[in-house]
Amino acid sequence: MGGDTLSTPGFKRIRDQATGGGTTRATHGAEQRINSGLGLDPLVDPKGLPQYGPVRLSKPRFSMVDGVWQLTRGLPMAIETLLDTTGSMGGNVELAFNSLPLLYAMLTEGDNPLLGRYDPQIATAIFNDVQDRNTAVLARSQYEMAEKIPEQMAMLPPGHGGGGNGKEDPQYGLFAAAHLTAPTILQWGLLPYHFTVSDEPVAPTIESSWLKHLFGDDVFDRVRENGFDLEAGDHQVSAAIATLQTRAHAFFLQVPYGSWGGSGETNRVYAQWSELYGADHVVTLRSTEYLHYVEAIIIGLTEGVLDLESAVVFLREHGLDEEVAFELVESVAHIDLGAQARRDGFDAIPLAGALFGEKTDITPLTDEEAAAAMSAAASSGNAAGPNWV
Amino acid sequence: MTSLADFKIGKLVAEAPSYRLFIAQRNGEEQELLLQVARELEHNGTLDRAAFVLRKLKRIAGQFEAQYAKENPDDDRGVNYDRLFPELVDSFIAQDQEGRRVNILAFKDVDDIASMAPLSNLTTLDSLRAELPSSAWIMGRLLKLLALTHAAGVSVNLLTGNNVLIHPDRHFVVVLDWTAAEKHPGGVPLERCSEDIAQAARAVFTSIGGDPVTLDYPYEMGENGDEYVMLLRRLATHQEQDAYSAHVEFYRHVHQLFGRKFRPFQTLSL
Repeated sequence: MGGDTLSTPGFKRIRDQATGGGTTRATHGAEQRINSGLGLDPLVDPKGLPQYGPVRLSKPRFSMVDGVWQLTRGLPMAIETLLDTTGSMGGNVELAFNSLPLLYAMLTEGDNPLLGRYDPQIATAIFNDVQDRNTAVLARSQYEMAEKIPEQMAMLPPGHGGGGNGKEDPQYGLFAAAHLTAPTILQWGLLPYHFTVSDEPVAPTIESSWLKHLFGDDVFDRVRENGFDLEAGDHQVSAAIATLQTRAHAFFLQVPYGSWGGSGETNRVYAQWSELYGADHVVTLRSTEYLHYVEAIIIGLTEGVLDLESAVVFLREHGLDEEVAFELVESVAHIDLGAQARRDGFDAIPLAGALFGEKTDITPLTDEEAAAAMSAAASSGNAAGPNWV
Repeated sequence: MTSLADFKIGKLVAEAPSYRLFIAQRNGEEQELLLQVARELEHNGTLDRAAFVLRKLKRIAGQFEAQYAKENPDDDRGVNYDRLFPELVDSFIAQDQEGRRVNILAFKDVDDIASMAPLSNLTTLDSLRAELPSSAWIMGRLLKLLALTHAAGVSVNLLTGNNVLIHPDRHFVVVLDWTAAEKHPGGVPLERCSEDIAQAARAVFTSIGGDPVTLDYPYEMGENGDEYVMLLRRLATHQEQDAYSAHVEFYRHVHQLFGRKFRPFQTLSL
């Protein structure tokens, strides 16, 4: 799988491609595709590619070195953002796309990269309202590492609809995050990250008919293959979120209502989501303009790489003025600080360069084991050549 | 980078579910400090949050101070909100304490930490009660603090007698422990505001020898004492939800009842 990462020239190339050299939105092609009845690109279709199905995989990347497998970039840390693209939220993919280079830099570069120990693998998903016509109820990219991140972001068609019915339908994206995701970081006792961004409440029921429509008729078989004993039928979004929270540091990022709706509506939305997630996993966004900053500091604070003071400094180093930086940190100060750092095994995870006998091994080879394996590989490699006497 | 080696650590003075509190002095300095050490790693976030709240309050207090100075250039007394909560001198991870967080706290204008004592000591250790007019400045300071914290979107949630420290001679009041404080994104809900006010009033009611549960006051009330006790009862029973207006009204009543002159702190036997 190699060790490519997202570079600035790489992102610019994808951006120029997607935007026609800056003449249109990055998602224009995806929107045209949906509008002309072609549906979603298979890479972001929740059904998945035929050979992989609907489960999204996040796996470690290895290079073969002298007969053993070397972890090229650290353990895979999956980060998924599920974006509302209804109504006024329709610009969220564009925002996420344009802020991707800075988010990626905050996670991987500088003196204090927030996920410096890991190989960040980013997926983006969008949701709309089931009543919207000619939109994707759900689209979901793969977990990617380099230019494929923005490439697949550009394949997500925002809906701009919303039904005007006082709710949206992220529950299918939440079901997928909980039951149709296989992040291998779980095998090392750590949790990946999941963010849902919306300004509306969620419909409470995950309808089986929609699950089959979105993920394929065999969706419940796929869920079982992914390790869940789940009955076919309708389910509650509360149960899906509860499952998700055992498998991810999952947060709801609330966009407050704008000039219409007012604080009463905002409070109603907050009440529902904080009931579902717990108040310490709900964050009120100042504006989606700062989404990437908020995601970054949530990750940094959960990993224990940042504390509340250094988070302010970190945001200032990445371009924010002091007042905004302080306000953003304040908005996340109530989350479970250091939740990842307290998990068993946090200090003992393999790092980039660790050697493994098999790609599926959890424990790296010791120095002695690696030497023996490399020696054995070298010897067997000579078997084809002349045996000197 | 600060470490525990920078401090001379003295005796343990308090323990709480999430921390231990020691007297300390920075090496080579006279001022006494409080060293708040997380009990376990899982309490690091609690102390980090308390430190964050104290930094925020300091910032806001500074803004009020600057505004007051601008509006009252001839008055050098200032508003002194920052005397009502500890100053966060430093906050760091102590690598030699298994990575536990340490907050270093100081009290503004107080060099001798032992001169500040918990309000609850009055009744529980000293078998004394505060004279009614003497308790008024304690209640007034607490309402002043709540006006600040609620305006900043912070509820204190721990205004018990063991968390309110007083310097009787200088009429200082400090709320020490901010580990239960909460930041409310949309502003402190009214029921939390009234709970903070009620909790503070009950702590003061206890200090005057009253029963904080029944709000009975079994002693002779003296001149205007009955009106003052009624005022405390009103605060203690969630009838006030706005700390700022409660603060203004409280002092208006107290000045009418007991006058404005500074009264030395007086106690009576229980």
